[in-house]
Parts: sequence; structure tokens; C-alpha cells
Amino acid sequence: MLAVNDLTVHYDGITALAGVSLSVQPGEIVTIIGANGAGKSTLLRTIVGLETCDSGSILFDNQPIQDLPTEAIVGRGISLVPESREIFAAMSCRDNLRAALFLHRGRESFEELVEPVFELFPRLKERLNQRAGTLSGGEQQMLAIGRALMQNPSLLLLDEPSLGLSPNLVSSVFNTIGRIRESGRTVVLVEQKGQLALDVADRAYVLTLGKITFEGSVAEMRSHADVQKLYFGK
Amino acid sequence: MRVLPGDRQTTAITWLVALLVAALFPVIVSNPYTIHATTLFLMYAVLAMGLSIVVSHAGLLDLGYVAFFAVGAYFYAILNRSTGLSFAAALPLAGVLAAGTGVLLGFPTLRVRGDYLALVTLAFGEMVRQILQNWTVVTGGPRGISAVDAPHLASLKVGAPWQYYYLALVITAVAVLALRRIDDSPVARVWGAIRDEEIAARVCGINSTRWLLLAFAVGASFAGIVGVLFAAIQRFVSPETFVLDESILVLAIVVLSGGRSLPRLFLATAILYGAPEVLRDIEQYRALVFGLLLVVFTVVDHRLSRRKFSQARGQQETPSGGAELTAAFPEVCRSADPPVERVIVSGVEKSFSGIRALASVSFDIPVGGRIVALVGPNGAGKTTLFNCMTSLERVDSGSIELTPLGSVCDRPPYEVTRLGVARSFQKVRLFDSMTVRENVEVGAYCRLPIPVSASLVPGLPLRSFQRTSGAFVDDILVFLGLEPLKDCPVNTLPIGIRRKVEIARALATRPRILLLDEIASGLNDGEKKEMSGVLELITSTGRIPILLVEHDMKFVRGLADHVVVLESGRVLAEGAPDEVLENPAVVESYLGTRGGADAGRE
Repeated sequence: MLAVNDLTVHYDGITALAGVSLSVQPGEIVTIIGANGAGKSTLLRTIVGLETCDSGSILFDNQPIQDLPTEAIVGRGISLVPESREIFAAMSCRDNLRAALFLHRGRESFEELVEPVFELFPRLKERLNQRAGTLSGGEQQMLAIGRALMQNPSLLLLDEPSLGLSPNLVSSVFNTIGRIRESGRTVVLVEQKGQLALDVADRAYVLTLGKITFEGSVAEMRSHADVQKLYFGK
Repeated sequence: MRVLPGDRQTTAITWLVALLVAALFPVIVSNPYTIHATTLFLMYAVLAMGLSIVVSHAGLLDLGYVAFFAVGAYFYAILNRSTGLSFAAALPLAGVLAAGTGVLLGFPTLRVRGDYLALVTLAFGEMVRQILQNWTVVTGGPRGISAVDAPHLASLKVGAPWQYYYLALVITAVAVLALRRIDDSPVARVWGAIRDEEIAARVCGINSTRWLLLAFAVGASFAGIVGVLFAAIQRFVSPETFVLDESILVLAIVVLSGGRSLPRLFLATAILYGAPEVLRDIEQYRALVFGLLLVVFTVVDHRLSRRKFSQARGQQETPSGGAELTAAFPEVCRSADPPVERVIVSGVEKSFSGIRALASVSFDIPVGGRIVALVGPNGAGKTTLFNCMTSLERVDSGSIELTPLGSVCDRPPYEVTRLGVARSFQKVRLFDSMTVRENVEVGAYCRLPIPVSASLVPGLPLRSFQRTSGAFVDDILVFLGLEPLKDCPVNTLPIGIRRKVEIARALATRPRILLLDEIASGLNDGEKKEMSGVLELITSTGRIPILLVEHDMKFVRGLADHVVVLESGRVLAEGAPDEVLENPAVVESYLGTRGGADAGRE
């Protein structure tokens, strides 16, 4: 579904990604683990065209997308939930969700698209008319994920969805990720809470200083001593 | 406008060559009109330098800058005609007078920022022009004041265009020297901190209003001095000169120069002042060609500066997680005064437009040498409580007392920091235009007397201050493993490192208590472990108590001596971590069944 080949990105002169390759099969949850500054966020941002790559290629459904502008990439079915959420703080929740309609150009109605989002996050239904900036941290995260789902992506990229959430919300976000996959979407998850990420994922990559240093199934990952030591402090 | 050490020599040579060319200019070009136009060009450049202090350094939009120019020009014209004040005496006096006028403008208006401040300055410029226009007895009204004396310098009477040119050149050179001094001075760093993140600057102990007044004053003094020169050259002043268009022209020069380098400022002046002069021949198309030039220049320049930036950074190493933490607690951070012993919060209430963030919060905790965690669901009021403790928010009722510091309510935030309360922010607030080291230095300024005059006047000693603050900061950087990243601009760093920089900056204020807001979020398990070690060192060997807002229960369990649970603006429970985190009410409202309490125990 997604194939990243030998991707190199210089970000403000720093080499953020040095020849990263990875692949994602339809229906998978793939998690990317790594220390701060490893290049995880840069990788996700490059996939959706928010950073330009210096070399390498990104294939989505066997089509190269690395030279497309972000809106075209999103149009093909990849949505990103950014690390800092980036909700439109001054707009209502409804308008935040409606922003996805630009992509569909009126082919689909708000009601149709929003139904599955409400099923996942009933809380958002109650908050529809509230200004997004006044939502609590957890609700903002729901809104950010909901807004991405409104775009009806086949591939969803999640950048640290549990950041700043209280423990009960963290577990509900991870439950949600499982349910998103059940709805037929593929998920790439970048997460610092590595153990929780491994609980929901099928496969994992470890990114170290812009290079993939380990890849394999979750079981392989759990048994790999170096990885455990480095990223889980054991 | 940072100068890299290796570049210093080349830059000095470039400036010398430029000065030489400028000095020979009237010899090469003998046309008096051209020389006169070049004199005016230099004057606009100096005006732009003054305004760049306000706009680029302090980040304030000033649309009435020409008023200070008018103050200088009229001051000389009026006093010269009535008392025979000499040119040489008028120059410094006008600088002081304009600076005073700047303070006068800033004092009432610096309560507002952004667009509102721009509007106020616009009105100020217009007010000054109206006074010049209508106070006929003093200013001569619309007809202005004529027959102002040409300057006498010793026995030499200045009259020819080339003589004025050299006068302007000397003033320009002095202005360049002053600005180059300011660019890399502690004062510029303080201004930059306020510009980047005023809230963070205030909790670094900076009284932002006072520093912005200084920016207004220094910027205005440049205009006042140029005003005297202008009146002396024209030998005539009238309100027509000091219109909004002039303010906008000078502002446009500053904007076009990007506030980054003096050569660019001269180039921008040449384009904005010079182009209309050169294009005189194609009168009809002048505005069109001028506009086109501006667009092309801006686009090309944007591209070039991006590439240059990339190249400069290309040689640096990729920022990693920083070095291994092995260093001991940096003793420089230890305050001479005893650390906080108790935190007594009694009946604190705080509402935001109807929403109750804190509904009567009370607790009394001995914190001496301990780490106390403040936990609770998102929106429980934890950050609001921190904001009240640092006086960024005013409590509606109740009081917060940190023994032996006393009450922290009803004091401005910068005073609270100087008392000894330092903090980090949930949404990291760093000074994004600066490097790691510079960020931490701003924190250190809290305890160091910032040398204001040495920052503004070239030649006064500044080294010893820089050495003191530098040594201060180095120890802290080593302690937090930030040493290898010290010259990285903070805006390129990942979130975990940015949090560490915030802690470093907070430590640099020599706190007596440290408030840390969700510093573990965005860190992986290994990094969290490292962070725990750092915090333990701070409390155990540094003896600085820590108040921690945190969601990661494993982190809290392993670290905290005492836990307070807030929910919906009230204290739900408090006590030892194991006890509180087993409390059924806490489990239900906050931890949930899975991933919370369980994850904490794994």
C-alpha cells in the first residue's frame, strides 16, 4: 500500500532522514518507535508532503507521490493527525469537522461522513457547537482524529496521539486505533508510549538518528534485547 | 544579525572597505545634486536603523516613527532661532529629548500590543503633526520655520553639499557601530525574548514593559539626532515633511531589510529611497516599476536567504537525544536563600468567562527537598493552578503562600520569578529565534545585573558580563546533557529536547522551587528514566523542591513523594503515591481501568 524507498530529508540543513525504507500492507497497524529527534515526525510529514525529500521515493498504491503537493496526497487517501493536533482553535467543532468537506467537493454530505466519527467519539456530538480551543486536551485529540477520519482516508498517519492525555484517555485512544483498523483503514502510528503501541500494532520499525535500525513483527520486537534496553528502559 | 566568530575579521574588513568607498565618494562624484541625494539616503538609513530596534528587535509595530524625527528637527530649529543653540550641542540633546518622547509615548500605550499598538502609534504620529501644524506661535504653523543656522563646527561653517555629506557619514558610522553593538548584546537578547514569547520572558524575571520602553527610547533617539541634521541641511522645517508616508517609507525599509543585517538595510534603503529618484525619467510608470522591483527583490531574497541558511546548518551534526547524563547538580543554580518549605494554597478560585477552572482549591504541603505531583484529568485545573502560582493569572479569591517566600498573588510575574519560583510550560514556550544556549542565558539574566549602557554604547566593557553569564550557563547545559546541542536553534529541536531546554532555562533563574508542567510527555521510556534521574538530583543535591504536573503514573509513582489529585477544580485526594493511586474515586475518575493504574505498576 505504502512503500517508502531510501528516503533522505534535510530539514533546515540537518539530516533528519538518511535513507529510510519501509513498507505498509493494507489493513496493518505499523508503529514507528524512536528517541526524540530520531526523525519520526519528519517521516510522517514527508509522506504527506509537508517536508520535501532530497532523494528517494514514496509510492502509494504503486504511484509515486513524493512530488505531489500535500492537498493532492490527502486527496489520494492519506491523512495525517499531526503531533500538535493543529485544530482550528477559533472555529467550532462542527466547522473543524466540516473542513474535510473541501476535499470531497460536495460529493458527500456532512451527515454521511460524520456518522462513523460520532460512533467512535460520541463526545464530539455533544461538543459540536463549542469553540475547539476551549475543549480539553483529550477532546481536542478526538477532534483532530475525527477531522482526519472525515477525509475518509485509506491510510491514517497518527503522530503521538497520546501526548498530554490523562491515563484513562490514553487507553481510550489506543482502543480507538484498533477500531479504526476494523473500519478497514490502515494505520501508521508514531508513539513514545512504546509498550502501548506494541499492544495494538502488527509490525514495528525502530528509527535511530534518521535510519531504520530494526524492523520486524511485534513479537520479534519484544524479544529483541537491544531495542528493549534502548527504548523501554529495561 | 548574529556574527559568527570566524566571520568577525572578514566583516571588519568589509566595513572598512565600505567606509573607504563612502569617504571617497564626493571626490569621485562631483555632482552636488547626487551628493545631496546620497546624504539624504544616509539619513534614511539611520532612521531605519533606529526603527529596526523597535520593529525587528523588540517586535513592536510603530507607524508613527517620523514623529521623533520631527521632534529632533523642530527642537533644533526652534531653539536655534530663539536662543542660538549650536548644532553640536543640539545633536545629543535632541537624542535625549526624542528618547524621552519615546518613553512618553510608550508609557501609556504599551498596555496594548500588536495591531492596537500600531494604531496608537499611528495616532501619535498624526497628533505630533497636528501640533506642528497648529501651534503657530511656537512652530510657525503650516509655513514652518526658516533660516535655521547651518552648522558651525569649531571655526568651520558647513555649507557645501560635500560637507553635509561627511557630517551625515560620521553620524551613520556612529549609528552602525551602535547597532552592531546592540545586535549581539544582552539587551537585544532580552528584547528578542519578549518578541518571541513574552509570557516566557516574564517568568524569566523580565519586566517586559520596562524593556520595551527602553526599545522605544533608543529607537527614537536615532530619529531625534537625524532630525537635527535634517533641519541643519534644509535650513528649514515644515509639517509637510513629517507625514505618515515618511513613517511608512522607513518602516518599509526595515521590513524589506528583514531586520537581519546592516548591509541589507542599506540595500533596502537604496531601493526604497533610491529607486524613485532614479526612475524620475519614466514618470508615468514609476510606481509600477517600483512595485515590480520590490516584488522581485523580495522573492529572490527569500530564496537566497533560505539556501544560505541551509548551507550554514549543513555542517552541523544531527541533533540526537543529547549526551549521556553523568554530571552532578550545577552549584551555580543554587540560590543563596533557603528553598521553599511549604506550599499553602487556601480557597483558591478562578473562573474564565463563566467556566470554573478552580473551585476552591486548598492544600498545605511540606515540600522541602521533595517532589510533589499534581495529577488529574485533562481540564482539572492543574495548569491554571501553576499559572496562579506564577502570577500569570490572578486568583479570583483565596491565597497562595510559598513559605518562606510569602504570598505570590498580587505580584507581577517577573517579581515572582525573582522571589524564586521558576517553571516550564505544558505547551513549550521557548525563544524560537535563539539557540539553546541563548535561551538558557535569558534565564540567567534574572540574577545578573544586565549592563544596559554597555549594551548600547560601543567601547564600554561587555566581555566580563558575557563571561559570567556564559560560565553560569555552561554548567547547566552539561548537567542536562544539552552541551552538544548548545548552538542549535531551538526551533529545529524535537519536543523532548525542547522540554529539557525549558528546564535548563528555569534552573538558570536560581529557583527556590521549580514548577514543571508535563515534562515527561513526548519522551520515550528510556528518556523518562533519564529525566527522573535529573529531577532527583535537583531535589536531593540541589535541594530545590519540585511541583510536577504529570499524566504518566509510572513516572509519578517512581518519583513523587506526595501526590495531589485535582478534579473539576477541586482536590479529590492527596497523600503518598501508592495510597492515592489506589483510591477508588481516583481510579474511577482519572486512571480508568486499563493502562492507567496497571501501567503504573508494571
